[in-house]
Amino acid sequence: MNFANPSGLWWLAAVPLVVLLYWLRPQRRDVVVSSLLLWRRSLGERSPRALLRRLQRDVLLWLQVLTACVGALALARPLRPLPPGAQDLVVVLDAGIRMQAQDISPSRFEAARRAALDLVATGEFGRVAVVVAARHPRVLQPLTASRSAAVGALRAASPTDGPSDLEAALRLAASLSPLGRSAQVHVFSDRPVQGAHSHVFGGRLDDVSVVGVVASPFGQGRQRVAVRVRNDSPRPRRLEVSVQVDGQPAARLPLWLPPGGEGTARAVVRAGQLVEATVPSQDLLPTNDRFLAAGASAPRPSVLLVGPGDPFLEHGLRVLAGRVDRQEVPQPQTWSGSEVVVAHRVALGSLPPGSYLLVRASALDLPLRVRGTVSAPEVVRQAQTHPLLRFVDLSSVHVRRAWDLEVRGGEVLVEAAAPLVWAYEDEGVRVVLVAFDLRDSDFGLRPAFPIFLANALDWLAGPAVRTVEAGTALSVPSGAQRVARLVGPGGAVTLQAQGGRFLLPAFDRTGVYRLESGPLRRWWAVHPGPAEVRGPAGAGVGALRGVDETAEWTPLLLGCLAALLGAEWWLFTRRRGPAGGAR
Amino acid sequence: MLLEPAFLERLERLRLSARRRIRGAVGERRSRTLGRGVEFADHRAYQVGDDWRYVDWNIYSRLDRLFVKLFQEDEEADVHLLVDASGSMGFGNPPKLEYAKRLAAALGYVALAGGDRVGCAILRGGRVRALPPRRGRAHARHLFQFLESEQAQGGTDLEAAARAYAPHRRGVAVAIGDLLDPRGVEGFVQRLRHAGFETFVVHVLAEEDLSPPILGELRLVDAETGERVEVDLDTAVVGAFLRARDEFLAACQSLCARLGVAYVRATTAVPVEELVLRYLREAGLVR
Repeated sequence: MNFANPSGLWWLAAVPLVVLLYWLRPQRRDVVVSSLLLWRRSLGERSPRALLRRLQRDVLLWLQVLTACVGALALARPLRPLPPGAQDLVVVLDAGIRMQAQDISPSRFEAARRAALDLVATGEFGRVAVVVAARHPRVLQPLTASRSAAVGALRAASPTDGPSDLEAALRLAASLSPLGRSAQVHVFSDRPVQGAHSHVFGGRLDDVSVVGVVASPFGQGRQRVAVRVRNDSPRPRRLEVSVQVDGQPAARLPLWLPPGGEGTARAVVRAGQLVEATVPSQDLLPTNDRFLAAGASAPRPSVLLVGPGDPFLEHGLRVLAGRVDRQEVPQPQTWSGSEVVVAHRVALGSLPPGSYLLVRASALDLPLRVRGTVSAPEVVRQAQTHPLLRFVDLSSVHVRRAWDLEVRGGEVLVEAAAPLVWAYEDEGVRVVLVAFDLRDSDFGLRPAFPIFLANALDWLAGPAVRTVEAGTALSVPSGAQRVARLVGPGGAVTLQAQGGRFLLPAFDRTGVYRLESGPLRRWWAVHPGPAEVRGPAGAGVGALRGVDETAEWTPLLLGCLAALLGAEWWLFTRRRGPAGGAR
Repeated sequence: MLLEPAFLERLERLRLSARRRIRGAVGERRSRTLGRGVEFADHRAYQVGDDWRYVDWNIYSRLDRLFVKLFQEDEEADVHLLVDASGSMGFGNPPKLEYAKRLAAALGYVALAGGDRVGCAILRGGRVRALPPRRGRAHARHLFQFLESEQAQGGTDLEAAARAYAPHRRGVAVAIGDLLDPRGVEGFVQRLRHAGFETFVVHVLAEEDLSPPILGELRLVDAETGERVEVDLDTAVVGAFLRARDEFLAACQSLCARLGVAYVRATTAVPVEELVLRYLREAGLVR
């Protein structure tokens, strides 16, 4: 017999403990009586049942022992096999980058897909579900009795350039099976997994890959590029790394790599927005021979500064933002041309959809009220897990005077006698409000200020990171826009803003993805991911064993346990009497 | 002091009554012997040697035959208080022996106040420790001291004790005890009856004798012998005990009824005063 949780059998150690407690239980209590004369008569009447009584007493012990055994068994979750056809099938198809390897014709992924289709077509199962194991596993087809739907889902699956998280996929597969019903999980991958039926396609891969590219500014009009290359083949490789900037050849860098080793090639090239590194490895997995990364001069968000302005604020924005426009008098109709509007010491009317950093500035339609001012407020709480306060500590900042704010909703990030920093997000509107003027505090002089400003721009305009791994799914604040167009290697899709954000589909393929929506222009360089997200596949899938070709005895054992406890209670109370006495 | 002065005062108004006439020395108690006395009892035909002074001349004038008048002889009676002081009598709250001692003292005082001679016997095992019968209220103090000095100990053999005590005595015997004798109590009562005692049995029980202790796994200890018996006291055992108890009490009562012996059962929960002034009156032991 197999157990889903064999460690539960350790509870069998409770059995000798029960026996020990039985023997160590308090001794009989001496009770003096006038004479044993009448007791002898009454006991003598029961003497023929003395053996039965002894057995009855021991029965309580045996019941307790049995209860401990059944409880331990229930905790161990024993499994029983199910007849064929009584189970569901969950197909987990690995769509990681390594499945694109062509050591199996035409590729590992295609071979795995065919095998999965064969299993779905010929296997004796109840219902079938299809799960794709990518960086973020997803269900292509929930459990369905329609084989054609499952076949269609499998045919629609495609490999990604990102890693595959088989462990998460297995958990997802386990969650598909309804409670009390069993499902067989079959994994089609290039790696064996534990806790499921594993179908392995391909073996060790001789592969050379670019695993990272970093570009940093290097003087006027130039940038330094570092390219990290890995050699997973069993022989040393002498390579020539090609570097392109904005599609133009920029450098060719020789590199020698030992077997299983990594090396970095560096070059100073002209500045540009997109850096592409390629190694001509001629191996069976060409996808990871190319790596795209944002260059040192990648665009940064455009900012509109409204109000009188502040030297610290203006200087910080010039460093962190791509473009800074000024506007003394608020003209909301022109704000849609900037990704972030920074308002300083100015009263605003209604805020059109967009992202706003308000420094001692307020708007009519925000859920807040300025009751007055507070003097020398001291910080009593900071929401340090919020991305706006990443690496920022305002506890030692001195503030001479701040607004006495009363907010309804949103999140108070820094709190003193009144909120000092407040974040608010509503349909199409994102606001960060600083309740004091920079001139009324030493915040502008602190190192925390530019970090806070960078965090605020990231939070309001979306992350500045332009280089992402394949399989990554992002969301971008929609600002004033309602519709956006995402153009990637696989084509273009139209996105609708939801809750003030554009939820981008996962970047499954390597290449450049561009998001266009009014003045909003974003792009991401997507590079291949590693083979897998975490350690050996199936290392943590012990919990899946219950979702296999077996069903658990646990419900039956729990029923037995309840019956045993009831019997024990009945026996105990019968011996003890209904009222605990016999007056 | 076994008895409170107020109770003694109330006891002085009582008299010990016997259902049968008792042979004894001169005293207040009427004997069953017909002879000289002041209270007319009967006539019988004249026989040679009869005292001429008792010839009823009125009958002779009417019937022309000689009859003599018979009178009830007044005789005094010995009252014997037999107190069981075995180990089992030390059981209960208050202990049964304390209760029995107070009861014996009360009855003794009633008898002494009535001019009877009162003796006392402590029955323990087969042995008897006796206080010889004496008359007079001054004897009450001796009786009380005698009773107070007794402790509950030893086993129970009532028949052997009766055998040792009864042969040389007559009168009224009041046996006070719990009757928990492994050999039974029939021999004991028979002995007293055959010895010519007018016998009263006061069956004293503690509440704990009537109701079993709490339920559970217990080791019962015999108060007399120290013998131990392990018992799982559950409702079934308790039921059997209650049946055995009822059978025992019924057997004691029916035995006394069969032998013409007055039987009174009391628990220590009933105050001695109430027992004497009410229940023993109803039973005819005192009036």
